[in-house]
Amino acid sequence: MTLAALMAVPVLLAVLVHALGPGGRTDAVPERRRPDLSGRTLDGRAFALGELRGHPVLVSVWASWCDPCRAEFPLLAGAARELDGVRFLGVDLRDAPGAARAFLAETGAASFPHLADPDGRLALELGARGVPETFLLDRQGFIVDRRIGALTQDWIEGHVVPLLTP
Amino acid sequence: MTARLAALLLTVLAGVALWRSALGEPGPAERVHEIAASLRCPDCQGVSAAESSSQMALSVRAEIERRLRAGQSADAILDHFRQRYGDWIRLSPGVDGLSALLWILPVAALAAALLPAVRRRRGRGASAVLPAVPRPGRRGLPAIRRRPARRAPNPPDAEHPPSAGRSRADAVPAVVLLLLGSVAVTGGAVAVWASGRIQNAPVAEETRGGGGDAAGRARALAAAGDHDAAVRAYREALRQHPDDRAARYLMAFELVRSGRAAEAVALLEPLLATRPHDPDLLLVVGTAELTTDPARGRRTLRRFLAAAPPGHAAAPRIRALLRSSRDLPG
Amino acid sequence: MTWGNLSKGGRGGILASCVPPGGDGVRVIGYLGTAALWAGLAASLAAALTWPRARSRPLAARCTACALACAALAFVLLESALVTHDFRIGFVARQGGRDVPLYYTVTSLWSALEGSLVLWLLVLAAFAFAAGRHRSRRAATAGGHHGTDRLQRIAMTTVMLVCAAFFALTALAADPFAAADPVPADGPGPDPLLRGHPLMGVHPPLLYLGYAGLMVPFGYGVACLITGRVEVARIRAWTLVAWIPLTAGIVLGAWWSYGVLGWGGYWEWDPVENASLMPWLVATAVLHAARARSLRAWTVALAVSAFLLVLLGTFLTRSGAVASVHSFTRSAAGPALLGVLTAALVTAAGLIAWRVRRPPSDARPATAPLLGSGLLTALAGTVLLGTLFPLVADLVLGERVSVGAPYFDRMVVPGLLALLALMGAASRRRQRLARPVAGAGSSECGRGLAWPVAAGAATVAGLGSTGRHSVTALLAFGLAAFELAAIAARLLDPAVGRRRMGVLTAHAGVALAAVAVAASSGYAQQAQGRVRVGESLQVGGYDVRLDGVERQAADGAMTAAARVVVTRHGAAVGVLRPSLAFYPARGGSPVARPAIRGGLLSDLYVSVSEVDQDGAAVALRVAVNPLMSLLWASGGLMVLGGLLTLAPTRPRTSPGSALLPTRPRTAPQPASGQGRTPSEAPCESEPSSGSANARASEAGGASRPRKARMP
Repeated sequence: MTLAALMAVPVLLAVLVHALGPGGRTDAVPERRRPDLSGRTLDGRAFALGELRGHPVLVSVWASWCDPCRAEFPLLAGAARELDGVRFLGVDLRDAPGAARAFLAETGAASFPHLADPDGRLALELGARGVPETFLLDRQGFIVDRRIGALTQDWIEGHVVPLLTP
Repeated sequence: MTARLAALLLTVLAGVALWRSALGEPGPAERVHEIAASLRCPDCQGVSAAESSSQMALSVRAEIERRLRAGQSADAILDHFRQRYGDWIRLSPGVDGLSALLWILPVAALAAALLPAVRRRRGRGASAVLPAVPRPGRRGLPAIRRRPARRAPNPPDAEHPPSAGRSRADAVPAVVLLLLGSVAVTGGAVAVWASGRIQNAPVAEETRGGGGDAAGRARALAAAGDHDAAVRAYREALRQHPDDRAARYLMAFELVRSGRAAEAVALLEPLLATRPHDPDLLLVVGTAELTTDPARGRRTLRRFLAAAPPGHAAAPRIRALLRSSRDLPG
Repeated sequence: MTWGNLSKGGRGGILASCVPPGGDGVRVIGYLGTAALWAGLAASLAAALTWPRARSRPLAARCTACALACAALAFVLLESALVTHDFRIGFVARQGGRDVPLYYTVTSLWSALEGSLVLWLLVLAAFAFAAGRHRSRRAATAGGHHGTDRLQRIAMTTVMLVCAAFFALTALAADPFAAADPVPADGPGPDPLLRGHPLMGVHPPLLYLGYAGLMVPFGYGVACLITGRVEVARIRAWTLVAWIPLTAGIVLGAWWSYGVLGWGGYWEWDPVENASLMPWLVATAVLHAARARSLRAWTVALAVSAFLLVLLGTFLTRSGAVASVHSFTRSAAGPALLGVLTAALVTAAGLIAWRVRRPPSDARPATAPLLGSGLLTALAGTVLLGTLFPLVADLVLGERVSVGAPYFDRMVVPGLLALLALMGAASRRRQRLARPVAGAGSSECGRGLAWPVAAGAATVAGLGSTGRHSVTALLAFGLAAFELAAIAARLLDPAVGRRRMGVLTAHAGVALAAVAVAASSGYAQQAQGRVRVGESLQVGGYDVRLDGVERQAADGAMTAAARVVVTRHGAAVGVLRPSLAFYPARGGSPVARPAIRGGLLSDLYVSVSEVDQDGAAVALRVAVNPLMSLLWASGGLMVLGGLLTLAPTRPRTSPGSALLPTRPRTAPQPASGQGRTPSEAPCESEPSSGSANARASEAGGASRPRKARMP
């Protein structure tokens, strides 16, 4: 018993030393998976993710009540204008349609489709932790990367742009 | 007797009541709650999806309800979430692999602790019959090993002068303690060193910023008021992580403070071309330029005001500054 | 502090340095504060060096007092810097704010790591001082011979080394007095969650008192291990001194989270909560193991590990090692804390391995203390395992695993129920002491417990017939009824001494807490949804109607309160204002301020999670939580019980004489010194009261009953 206790001390310390290190794997995608996103867009037409197959897709989960989303959307809208090979898709989480449309008009991100997600089903299908959150899908529709929290220019340059040059 | 009879009767009734409640089927709302309680709320900290009223927790509950109504089993629903979120989403790990330890260890430890108790209880029955003769070697229980046998009869009182043997005996704990102390201090130092090394390892962009690396040292130097040394440290930090914009800005800031505003402008000017609307960048460049080229600095600060999001804490002061210097050219 | 430095605190500073030269006067407070920390380190080291020698005792006592003075000076300086908004001090620049109300300015000292270390130092040094002084008074009554000093001198050395370690840690890795650079014009104020509830001023200091207090039993434990001489009474007494504020701190912490976190719960098995529960469980185990001579080695090991768990918990929660997805802060004090923890852990493990041996198998057990302390220790171990497991999984598998409430509920709750049963059974065991007839024990015991068993069973059977209940809740109610009945029957006995009364009171507190926890977790009713003005939610007979939204800006916060009118069965109950508060200077998301209408039988708990821009609708959550007041009251009972046990009984059974029976050297015994002879064991196997002298007072004043039985 004493021996076991003595063994436990170094093990415990190793665990603790390790715990102090970077724990930054929160953004990792748990499983290679093709999310099934389909539903009605904010302007009322039917949409399925399959329509965008063949292109990398950047899926942004957002809501008009989320302030960081408001801050990141100009960047997203700019990227949507500049990055030709990438398709963009919004998922509007549990939002009032009127407020959501006003949000898009204000941030200039109405150029790409936005799926309405009134009960959060689509966000859960993606595996989103909250808003804002961005998922990067490859040409086959598999999730290859994600970003929890607001998008940054660096992240787009480091993660999205490489997908464009196969 | 009546008391015991009543206790017996009531215990039987209580057993029946417990049995019945164990057999009861939970209603649909309870089942949703039960499943949600075993899932983590995706967008909160340490709260289950059953308790939180965050948007994602509401979504999780709605999804569970939808799937239950579609006839899915609880396990299938849990699997559905696990596929999308990984094991992280389950608040209670499964009984497979390493997680099995989590369930087995406490039970095993309790059993290991209580087994001697049960055994000893039996031993007591026996020893009550035996005459209480102290058997040397297996006596008593204190189980604290007492090294020097000859020390025991000596009460530690002052009237017993310490003999030579006793002081030698006293030296044993001292030596052990000294050894142990040095081992402990070495261990502590090793732990600090090892964790420092881990902290210095290149980490994901969000987790950077702990003390210890060049940037951290630079910040410490800056806090200590040694701006030149801070600039040198930031330069080193930038060599390690050239894309660390925060370090670049802070270095420019330190340059301004050590009177080298021109260098600060030169450092940040190239960045300004690629990020013309970064308010923080404009702010630093503008304040630096105020020393080198006041007119241009005011222009840059005006651009800052235009780019700054409403409510930026520096905006009112910059506005006041620009207003007070309006009569100057530029 | 990478980006925030520039984009938050830095802005004022950039201007201050470039435009008008910021007030860069002499930072007297800052230099004094840092100097106090270093002086405290020097004084602690000096005390640690002087305590071991009996002759340098007065000097050692003076050094200890000096360390306390340094800690107090640092505390006063930091507090005054906070109150006077001296933003040149780094800590004030990060945690202070001009529009924070005075009360929360004072409490903001312990709202971040550096400041809480200063409070922690003050409490540590105060305990060290008290532990050093306590000794001198005792020595005076005992005639002042040096031999009995030894244990305490070694304990004090340990204690002062711990103090020195924390002074060094604060001065080197987390100096709150470091200059703020740049000096801001105003600070962001403490975290929004930490300035919304008056308990903020009470709960953390009490918790720290408990944590720091466990340092003294740690010191005595180490001293016992070094000398090989066990004085359980002192370990027990100091553990009790720490246990009382620790208990109060934990219960108040639960109350605080109930009133602040806004989701209606009070315990979530969060790492921070677990970090406070583990030392409590082990300290409680110490108090129970200390009752039995056969568990003396165990008591020492537990006393040592209680403080190790405090250190471990501090490390886990303060270094960011177990932070969640949303917090990326890693304090610079992490490695230093780990260093202190490692040193303490290695020392303790080495000493225990060196000294403690497995007891021989023919040892005479004391069943109730053994079961009680064993169960409590196993529970603490389970909580530790669950708290550390995510870290282990991360190291071994590289996976993120969660261990949360469902795990702890399944593993810990059965143990707690078993404890209830044990406490009930142990309450009646005194019956046997009156007639110590060999062989008749179990039946005597059975008769003593018949009525309590009947009461518990009747509760289960009666409740079971009223509808659906969960098995756990039924068991909790039944076992609590059993325990309370046993305690009540025991209290009828007029010969119950004060200490025994304290033990029973504390046990009754635990039983009532079990009832309250089972009721509030199993029988809460709630409703939530979006409510427009004029609409209402109905829960448990209450009707909660949204009357309007009130907005205001005060104390640095922008508040949106939902004014709700509450009626019950048509009768007006009152108006509540749950609100959302946003602190622009601090940023982040708004925090919920629930409104609670407390009642004897149930609380009405209303919180808002969203308020529409136009103020026409809010997301409302209404809950009726039963027996919450009982939960807080039960915490009070536990503390009261502890205080009763702590209070000295009659002068005849002063602590000095209490030590005698447990000190083996005073007893004539064979040379090898393996402890007491078995012949006195029957006395121990009847766990009765908290300690030998309480038993003595109950038995009619024979101050040393054990000695009377010596062969």
